[in-house]
Amino acid sequence: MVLSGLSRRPAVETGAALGAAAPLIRSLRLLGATPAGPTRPDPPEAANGPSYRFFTGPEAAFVEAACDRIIPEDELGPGALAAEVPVWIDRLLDGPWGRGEGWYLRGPWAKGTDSQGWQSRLGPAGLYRTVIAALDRRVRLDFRDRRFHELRAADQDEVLQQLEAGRLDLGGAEGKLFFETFLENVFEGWRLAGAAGRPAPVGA
Amino acid sequence: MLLRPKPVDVLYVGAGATTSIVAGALADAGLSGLALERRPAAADAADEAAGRQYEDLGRSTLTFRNAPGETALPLRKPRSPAPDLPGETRIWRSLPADLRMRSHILERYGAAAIPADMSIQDWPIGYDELEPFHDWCEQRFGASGRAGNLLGRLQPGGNPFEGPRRRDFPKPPAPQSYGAELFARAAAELGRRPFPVPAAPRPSAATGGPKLALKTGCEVLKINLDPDRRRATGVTYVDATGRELVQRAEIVVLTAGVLDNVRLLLLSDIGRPYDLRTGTGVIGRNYAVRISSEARLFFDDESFADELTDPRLDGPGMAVDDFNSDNFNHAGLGFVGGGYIRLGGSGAQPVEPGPTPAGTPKWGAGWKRAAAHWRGRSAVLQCHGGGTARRSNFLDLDPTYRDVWGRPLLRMTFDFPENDQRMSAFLTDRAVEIGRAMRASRVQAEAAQLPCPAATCQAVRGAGGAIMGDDPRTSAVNRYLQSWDIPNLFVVGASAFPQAPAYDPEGALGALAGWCAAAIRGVYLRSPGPMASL
Repeated sequence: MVLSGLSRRPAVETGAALGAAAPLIRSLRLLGATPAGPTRPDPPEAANGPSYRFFTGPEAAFVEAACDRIIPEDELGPGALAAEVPVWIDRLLDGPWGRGEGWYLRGPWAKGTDSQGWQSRLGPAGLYRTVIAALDRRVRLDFRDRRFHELRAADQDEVLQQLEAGRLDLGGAEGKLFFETFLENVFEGWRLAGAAGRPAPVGA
Repeated sequence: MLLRPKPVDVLYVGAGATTSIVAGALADAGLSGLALERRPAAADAADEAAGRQYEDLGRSTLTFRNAPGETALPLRKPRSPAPDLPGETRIWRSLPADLRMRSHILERYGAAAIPADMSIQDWPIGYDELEPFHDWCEQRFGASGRAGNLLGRLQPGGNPFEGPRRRDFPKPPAPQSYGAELFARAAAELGRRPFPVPAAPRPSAATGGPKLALKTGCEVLKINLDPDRRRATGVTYVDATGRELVQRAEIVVLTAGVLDNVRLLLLSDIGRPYDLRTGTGVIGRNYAVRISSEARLFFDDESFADELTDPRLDGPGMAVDDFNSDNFNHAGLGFVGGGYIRLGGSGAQPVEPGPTPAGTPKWGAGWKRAAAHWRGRSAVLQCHGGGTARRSNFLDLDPTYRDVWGRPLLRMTFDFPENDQRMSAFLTDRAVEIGRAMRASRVQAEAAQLPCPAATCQAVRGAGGAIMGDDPRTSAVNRYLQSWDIPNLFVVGASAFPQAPAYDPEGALGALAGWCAAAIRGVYLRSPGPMASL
């Protein structure tokens, strides 16, 4: 099932304060939108958590841990994990946008100035795969063979800050671009979950 | 096999709100029309929601560089699929002084006020000629607002700088949010003259009807000309199934938006392309973009929580025009032009979190605490400045990059002129003053991002490139938006603006579209041929 309703605010109860964020995926099904064409049935939900279509197991472990640092759960309420943002990103990458539909991915390729934006020959799905893999290798090298999701929170934050600043050597993988995109995706998923505490706009 | 359907009276490229205005008027005159729209029809809600309705950059992107010395590169990433677009749009009348920007500045400040590389021009029509069409638009779209100048008499509570209007808005302004009221009070304390921002429900795109056929998923490849290259015979386009068709028409009207209007002229070899080196040519010349900045306000005490829970108050808000256009004395300031300052609703913006003060981390526990704390205690004063035209900002065809049909992409060479940067800094300072008068605990100026990112030009579509004028050496279309080169071709859109006024373009666009349609009906149809003498 294509994640219909990506751009719609989920039909959750209003007053979606931080403490009352409803799971994204369930809410999106309430919209009742069905995609055109053959439908893929949802894989059965794993007993311990969500089912990913795009992310491999190790990738999902990274994304969940990173989401938990970007918007953590705290005394104010749930964070990106409880709002199911990792699954939302998974569906985004598994769908048309992730595959690069609607993107201009033709050469020639050049580095570009900051003003010129995305110039990677990878689409978003490729960027996620490449950088998450390179980051995993980097973390194992720097932290005695441990993986990102096994690090202490403070170390995870440090790694993410270095990634954000472009200071991690990822053997050429575009860490800075990845972090920028990942941050955008996390916040977009978070807001669409109603978790930011804003009501839905009155029908356009 | 090339298909050649029956000719139509009028062929429209694009099927947006502008198309709707022109097509409606010409249909009333008995002309049959066909509108060709690039976007696919909405198959169902799921397609639209999944972003399949959104732009396909393989077909329609551009290349971008800030300066002529750089290599332009493609805009590769589509904007996020927008959520529900705000239901309202701001609908402004043109300011009389904006329509004669060059002459006005020369008269008031002298030639030294216009830098050598600034290429601003007068519009070839005046406010008095456009007023009836502004009025018609406001009535047709059900605009809400408060008149500032009724037949020359200033009205309290309206915009004192607007041109004289024959009657008030059809609807009164919507109730204001608490934040907007605070803004208005503080602005008035400083001697500014706040007024409700004029607004209207977002005008809908063109829809098919008895006199207007509409085909979606169609890409117009080029405008076809007769062997003498003096008349348009119609267009060649690819339809949704991938077939190529040659559609003949008596009149061709481009309403494809600024960038596609200009690109089609260039791809079809119509008019002389602008040449930066010699400064000659007109197609692609005078491309300008409005410059936006903000004053972010943070209140330890006030709460704007009602804005977050009552969507009725998330409206267009209040504005001051005291620093727009030439509404103030520019002597000694070192720039021309200006902009308006507004506090209003923002509509849904799913990707951006709420404002946090400078120094707040951009993510993590620190961000979350700050965002929660300031939610309902922050406000944003938006400053929208006009864009002047300068010789090194222009549009042309890219030498390297092509679209899925093998046609060169449009190349945009643009950065905010120094004049506009100085003006924007001044405007932001004025907004900061209002913010302080609102007794904000913290006021933070956010300047326009420099150099201008490509993404800004993707979001704010700019103006010019096929500008209107009285002289074919410095304009692409005449005062009726008729091509100087091809009399049965009309190029309707913000592409016609000689420079970018500070106001959102919908109001001027609607009025111009009505003006053009009236001219086609009243003049062109009676006597097809050039409508303005050289």
